[in-house]
Amino acid sequence: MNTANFEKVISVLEEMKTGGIIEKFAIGGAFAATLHNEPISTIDLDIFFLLKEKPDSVLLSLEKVHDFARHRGFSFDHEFINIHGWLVQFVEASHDDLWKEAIELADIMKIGEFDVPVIGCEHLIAMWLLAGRAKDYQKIAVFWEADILDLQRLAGILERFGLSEKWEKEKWRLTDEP
Amino acid sequence: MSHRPGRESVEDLERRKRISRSYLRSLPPLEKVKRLVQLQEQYYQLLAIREQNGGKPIPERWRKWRTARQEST
Repeated sequence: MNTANFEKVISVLEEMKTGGIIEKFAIGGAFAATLHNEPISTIDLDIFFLLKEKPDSVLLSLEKVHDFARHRGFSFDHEFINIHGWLVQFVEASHDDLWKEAIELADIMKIGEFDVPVIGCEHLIAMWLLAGRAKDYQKIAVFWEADILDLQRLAGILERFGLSEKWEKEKWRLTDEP
Repeated sequence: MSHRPGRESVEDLERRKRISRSYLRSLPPLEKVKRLVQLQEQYYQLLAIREQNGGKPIPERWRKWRTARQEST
């Protein structure tokens, strides 16, 4: 496995976009955290995406993506599509306003030959805060310690999505102080 | 006799951790992807050794990861 395979994955995602399978996409999750900050062990590549036409149900939302995978000969199950050795998890985002905004306002990162949309640090924080699992708080803490956040931008996102109160309640986790 | 690290060695460890993290943060994205791949392989090896030694089995998601990598080579 080398980084060329990763560039092939990006190429496939671009192909899905130009082919009208998906309208927009952005890398999220621990993989986005790796790109913004430092490598974190994760098995998959989370792709948050929007379809050209809003799906009637969450189940239907992956139908076109799976058809594409089948057509291209990529193996897949209910969780992942194996694209050139990377387990890619596609997450349709149209039913969630925070996810939608995270895609719309994604950072554009130069990765090899490609300009790749990557969900911004502050939106990642909001998404992890909302998910609220132990591993999500760990990622928030790592970002906090790295001092890479635009706090004004973060405050705006938390306010817009009703997460300010949860942030105030949970931010004690970010410090060693009792 | 137990040995407790002194304040200076803890500070030194923290300093080295900061330097290491700052270095990793400064790497270009493709280099970070390369490091991630190495991290995945090392982690899988740890899980495999643990299983071989009678410990917990390799989690299903990591088995899927392994299969995906093998299929691509």
